[in-house]
This record gives sequence, structure tokens and C-alpha cells, in this order.
Amino acid sequence: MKNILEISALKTGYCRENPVPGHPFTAMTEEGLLTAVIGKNGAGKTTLLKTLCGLLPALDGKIMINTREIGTMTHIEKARMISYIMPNTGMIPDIRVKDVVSMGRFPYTGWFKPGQPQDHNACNEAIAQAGIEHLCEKQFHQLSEGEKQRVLFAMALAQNTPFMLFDEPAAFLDIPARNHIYDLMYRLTRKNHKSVIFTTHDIRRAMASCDMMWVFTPGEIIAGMPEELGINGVLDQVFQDDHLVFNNGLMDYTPATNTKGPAVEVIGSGSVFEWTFALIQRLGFYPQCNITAPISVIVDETGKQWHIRSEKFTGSFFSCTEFAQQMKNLI
Amino acid sequence: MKTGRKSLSFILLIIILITLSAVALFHDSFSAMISGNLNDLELITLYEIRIPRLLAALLSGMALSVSGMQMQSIFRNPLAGPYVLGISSGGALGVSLITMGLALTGIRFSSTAAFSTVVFASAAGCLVFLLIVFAIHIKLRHPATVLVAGILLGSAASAIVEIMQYLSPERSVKSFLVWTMGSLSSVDNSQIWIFMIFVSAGLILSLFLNNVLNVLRAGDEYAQILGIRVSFARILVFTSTGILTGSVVAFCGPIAFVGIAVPHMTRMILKTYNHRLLFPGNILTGSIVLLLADLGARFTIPGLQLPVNAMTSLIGIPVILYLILGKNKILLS
Repeated sequence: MKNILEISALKTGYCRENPVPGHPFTAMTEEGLLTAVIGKNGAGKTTLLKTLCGLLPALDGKIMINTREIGTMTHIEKARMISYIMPNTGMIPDIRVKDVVSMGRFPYTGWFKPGQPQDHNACNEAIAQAGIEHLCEKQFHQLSEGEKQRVLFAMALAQNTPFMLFDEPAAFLDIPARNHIYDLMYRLTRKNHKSVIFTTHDIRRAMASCDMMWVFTPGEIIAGMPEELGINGVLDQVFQDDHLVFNNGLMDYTPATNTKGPAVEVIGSGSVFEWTFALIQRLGFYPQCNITAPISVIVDETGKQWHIRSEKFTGSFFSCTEFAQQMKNLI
Repeated sequence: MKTGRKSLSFILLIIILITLSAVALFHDSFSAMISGNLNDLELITLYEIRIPRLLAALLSGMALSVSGMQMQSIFRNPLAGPYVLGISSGGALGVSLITMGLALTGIRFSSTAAFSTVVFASAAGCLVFLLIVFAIHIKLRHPATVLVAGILLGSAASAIVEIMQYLSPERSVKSFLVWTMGSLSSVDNSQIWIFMIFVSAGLILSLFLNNVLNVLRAGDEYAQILGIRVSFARILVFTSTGILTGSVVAFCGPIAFVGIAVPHMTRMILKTYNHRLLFPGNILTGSIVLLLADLGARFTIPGLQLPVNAMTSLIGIPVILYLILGKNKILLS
């Protein structure tokens, strides 16, 4: 039987007097699904995750795991169902990495029992899967931010819960470390059949990997498949107060300005063409293909040459810098 | 390999403890003990004086060290110790009321009843203060508030004590001051059993808190995610520390610095943060340190016994200084 998490008409908040504004939230997820939670800072993403794992009480509505409400579970039962990793890794003082991972076994050892062989095996597996074998004997506080995240991942893996919540697991990480974390989360859902729910501001990468999205729009939280949310215009609502719209070509948010700068026709193909397209956009023009515009740029991929044709100026360049200089004069 | 080193440390600690205990019991009757013919006087000294005193030292040492370990872990503060909750101030207040307060009203105790009364007054004071700490914790549920409350309670208690010192005759002030210096020789053969029962109760309760303390180091939120009812766990830790500290304060007075210094020494010896190992480690190291302090108090100046607090301070303060001055050592809480 698949493990299922159901949320119905949930209201969250730190206290009853001060709930997170908006309509109640209804959604569900099950094992094997990767869910990204998207929204502005302060929209209530962390509050939602903390409510799901029981750190905060639900102000209204229900959270059910396999038809059991989490409010009726004991602390240990809950700890065997849901794990949660907080964004602030500095919370943990210096302690050996191995000991951090073995904390994840508390729901199984309980208050008195020493670690059993199966606990040691679970820790070793978690360490191997997170790829932190080389860090085991180090002190936690000496690690880099990316390494710390991986250690906490290993702790959550040792906890071996069907539902795993990660609060901004990739924030503050460099690009390879971020890749590693996204890889890990993807593998957890596909290989270990976990249900992973994570918050992020990296919308592009979330779009590329997750099965489901919970999007905090100003009025409510909307759950759905990312592409479906894009088609229905839900993604555009997230930052509408800040005049940002979702640009599905760039898979990211861009300013919703109507003044797009003078149109430029760009002709060509290949990578030099793509870079040139990006350059023209950055300079404040509105680059397009297959239109007739007062300015047209022809990119010669093989000769690395740029031809500009316009009323004011016509000429060719062999250097990208000189080409850019001339384009600036045309604006 | 690593486990081997830790086992070796434990074996060494046990050997040191046994050797020191033998010295404490038989330092002047060693050959007689070996040949098995101790004379009557030596036997009486052994049973009536030396064995109770040895047990008092061992019990106080282990109780203070284990409760110091618990306080350092639960407050995540390397300078926390058994007295941070302010419980011992309650004990001091109780004792001062008996030694000085009652003297002011003119009531006198016979000297045999006096010690039992002091123990009772001190235990009652500790209990009252422990209950105040509980009340504050249940109401506010944040460890820092308990720390602040502990300091405030302590100051309030010492203010009252000072007033009584100011008003009392010299004799009763001195008997109170002697109590504050700690003593391992006041407990007699019959009372040592009560002391032992209390310390055992505290230690047995602590035994069930080691896994929890391991996880609480990561903070309350992770502890809760991992299945711990944090506030309940903290109450249990305060209870065991209360029993351990309170019984030491009641029977031997507020023995200083052992509770802060020994947990650090144990961590340095065992090189671990795992409370399952630190717990027996602290029991052994704590016993050894207090026994050493007691031997120092007895033999530094021949024919004169120094107060045990002077010796524990002389051992404890260098350790704490090393922790503060040694590079980054203070972080190793």
C-alpha cells in the first residue's frame, strides 16, 4: 500500500490570533512524488512545513497520513512518518558527523535502548547514500554549508520516514552542491520511493525536476503539476504585486514591462546566435526572429562575424565587444 | 580500534579509583590490612569514619558530575553546572534559617540532632527551589528563562542569607560558613544509606535520559521531530539534577567546581559526546576527582583538615581556565 499524505482545509500560523492569511489549503501527496513549495518570503512556506511535521499545531483543518490524523499520533509514531530539515544548519553545535546521523535513529532506539545492528546499518546506508563517508569523523561545525546540508540529509535518511520535508535545502549552496542536493532529492523519490516536499526560490530547477508544486499566490495556496499551473496562469500570480511574470522561455520570473525596447531582428542559428540573442536583450533591445525590424543583426556562426543593418549604421564586426559597443550607440 | 581506546580509558579509570579508595581506607594500616589482622581501633576507624567518608566522597563526586553533564548539555553551555538551576541556593537558605535564623529566636539543638536537622533543612530548601524552577519552566517553556530564574533565585536567597549573617551572633555565622565550605566527614554510618538511596535514584533516572540528551544537543525542534516530548524530557532532567544536587548539598554542603570541571575532563579523556559513554565516564571521573580532593584536604597539612571546597576549587579552576584560554576549547560543550 502506498503511503499517502492528505491535507484538507488546513489553516496554519504561529498562533490562533495571527494565522497565515488566505484560503484554507487542500492537497495531497504520496510516496514517489517530488513536491516543490513556491512563494514569496514570508508567505508561510516554513509555517506550512512546520505544521505538516507537527512542530506547530494546525489552526484548522486536518492533516492525515494513511487515513490517520497526525494530531492523534504519538511523538515517536510521527517521527517514524515525517522528517524535517530546517534551513538553518547553524542550529547544531559542534558534534561529530557520525553522531549527527545517528540522532536520526532515535525514533527506533527510544529513550533507553542502545543502538542495535540494524540502526548502525541504517546509519551506514544513509551515510553512503548522501555521499559523506569521508566526513564521518569530522566535526559538524567545520564543514562547508553544502556538506552540512548533506549530513542533515543523511540524518533524515537514517530516520527512514516515508515523508521528508526540506526547508530551502539548496539556499546558500554553490552550484555543484546545489546540483548534488537536487540529485539526492530526485533519487529519494525515484529509488527509495519517498515523498519529498521542499521549499525553494530556484523556480527554474524546481520546474525541471518536481512532479507537483504547491504555489503560494496572494489569495491561496494552489497545488498542481508545474506545467498545468503555468498554463492556468497560477505562476504569474505569485509575484504579481511585484510586477513579475513567469517567462516560460526562460523558465524564470522577469519584469512585466510593456516597454520592451526597440525591436531587433536576429538572424542565424547555433550557440553564437543564442549568445548574441541574450546580449542584445541585455543591452535593452527586444530581439526577435522572423520579423522585419528597423535594425537587423545577422550572425555568422562559422566565421564568428556580426553584421548590423540599419538606417543609421551598416557594418560587420569580428569582435563581440566592438559589436556590443556599436549596438549601444544605436539604442 | 577506537572502541579499544575507550575501553582502555575506562579500565584505567577503574584502576585509579580502586587504588585511591584503598589509599583513603588503609593509608596507615596497609601491612595490617594485607596480613588481615587489623586491631579493634583500626577496625572502628575503618567502619565508623573512613568507609562513610569514602562513600560520601564517591557519591558526591558522581552525583555532581552527572548533573553537571546534564546541565551543560541541556543548556548547551560549557560553563553550566549543577548549581545553575539555583537549587543549591535553596539548600543554603534552608540551612541558614536553621543555623542562624533559629539561633536568633533562641532555639538550640543538641549536636547529634543538629546534623540531621541541617540535612533536612537543606533538602527542604532544595525541593522548594526545584518546584519554583518547575513552575517557571512549565509556564514559560524556554531554557533561557530557567537559567535567568536560577540566577535570580540564587541572588534572592543569598540576600536573605546576608541579612541573617548581619544579624546573627558570630558563633552561628561561623557554623553556617563552615557548612558552605563543604564537608565529607559529617555523614555517619546510618545516614550514608539515605544519601546512597537518593544518589542511586537520581542516577537511575539519569540512565534513561542519555539518549534524549544526545538528541537535545541538536536543539528543541530537531528533538521534537525525532520524537521527543521536549518539555517533559526537560522536566525529567531537572528532576534528576535536583535529586542529585539536592542530596549532595544536603549531606555534604555546596561542593564547588566539581560539577563544572569534571564533565569537561571526562569529554577530554573519552573524546566523545555520546552521553551513553559520558554517563559512566562522569561517574568514574567524578568519584576520582572528589576522592583526590578529599585526600588533598586530609594530607596537605599534616594533622589539619582543610575544607573540601578549597581543594575542589584548586583542582577545578585550572581545568576551567584551560577550557577558556585553550584555543577554541570552550566551544567543546
